[in-house]
Amino acid sequence: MSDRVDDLLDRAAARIPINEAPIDTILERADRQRRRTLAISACVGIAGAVAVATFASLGTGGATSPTVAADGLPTTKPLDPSSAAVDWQVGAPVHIPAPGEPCVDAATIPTSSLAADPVVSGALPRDGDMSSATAWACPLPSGTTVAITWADGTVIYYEPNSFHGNPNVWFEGMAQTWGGSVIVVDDHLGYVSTANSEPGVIHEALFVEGDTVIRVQAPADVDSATFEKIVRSFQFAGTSAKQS
Amino acid sequence: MDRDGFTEYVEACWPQLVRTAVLMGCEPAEAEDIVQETLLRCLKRWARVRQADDRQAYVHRVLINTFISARRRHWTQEQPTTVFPELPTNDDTAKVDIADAVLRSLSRLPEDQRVAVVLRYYAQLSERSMAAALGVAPGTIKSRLSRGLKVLAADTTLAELKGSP
Repeated sequence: MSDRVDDLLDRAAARIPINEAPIDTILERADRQRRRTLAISACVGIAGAVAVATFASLGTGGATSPTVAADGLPTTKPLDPSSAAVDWQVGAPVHIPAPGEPCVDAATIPTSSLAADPVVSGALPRDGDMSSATAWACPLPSGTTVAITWADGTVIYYEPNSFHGNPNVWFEGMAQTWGGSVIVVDDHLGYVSTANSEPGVIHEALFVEGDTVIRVQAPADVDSATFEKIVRSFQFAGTSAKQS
Repeated sequence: MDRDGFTEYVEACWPQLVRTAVLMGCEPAEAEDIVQETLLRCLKRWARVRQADDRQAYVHRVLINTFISARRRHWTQEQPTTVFPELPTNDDTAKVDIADAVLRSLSRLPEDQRVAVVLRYYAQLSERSMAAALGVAPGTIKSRLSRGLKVLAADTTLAELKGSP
């Protein structure tokens, strides 16, 4: 039978039409992704250097924008609002808002705007207390940029439209830069930050569902490994995340 | 970025990788996308891929991961609907050729068995390379192949192809 399968597969495969290999496209995509990774790295530099003055500093011109030094290492320079677009994502550059532009600071989103049942609760795992963990899910109007200050001080800008492109590429870029994990829960792509894995800090995870960003926080007494395990046990329903 | 030999590799392996993806269950256009993504991932680590002991196993592992990931995303894109967008068409079974028959037979296999059969009997990977590519024990490979072949042997569609040109 194996010889016969061998023969049949060869004959079937021979009937499959083959177009020319898109070598130039692959090389071009690799170059763009490399530039994007450097840009993200530069943003880490921003956060480390400025602690980033959170979102408010954008309004005072205190933020910086990334450039790439001749040696390939990211550096920073004062933000020029007229050229603030950063190629974070293939095909969908994320726009860093200039002073005065509408932007939402995630920390200021009122509880009333949270999706139903945003608090993660339920049976506590034996090896970690998640009783005070919280999650929020916020529908993001198209065109809005959201700034989230993570527990380790990094600021990441999310633009809902950009997730329609290829979120896994975006998350992978984050993971490569910050050392976090790209995970899949309930078919939802997510990212767990391990940059803030020092004891005593809050752990965070991020998921995207359409135009909605779901962010999960754990208290400081949960270690990174436990947190990731717990996040993997989430179940998604609508725009809220629940611990199963 | 180290790209030494990448272009030559893509030119040589593109047809085989695309056909492998189709035999695993992709539409041709989807297969091209998946192979392109696979090769992009390989390019980013080309120095490691180029020096791998079993490069084909390495590349096929990336291919399989990309294939599974694409299927997962594909699933999330499904939307429930009360109206089917498809229009009724004639049953063209009379036009079924060997390729269609083989693909139909393969589609009846569970995904793990289908991937095993395609990698072994089309991509010509050894059982050892398959174990490396799939990240499972060699015994598991033997088991999947055995069960897959058993299903194909009992497939009447394939039996009817016996002796066909």
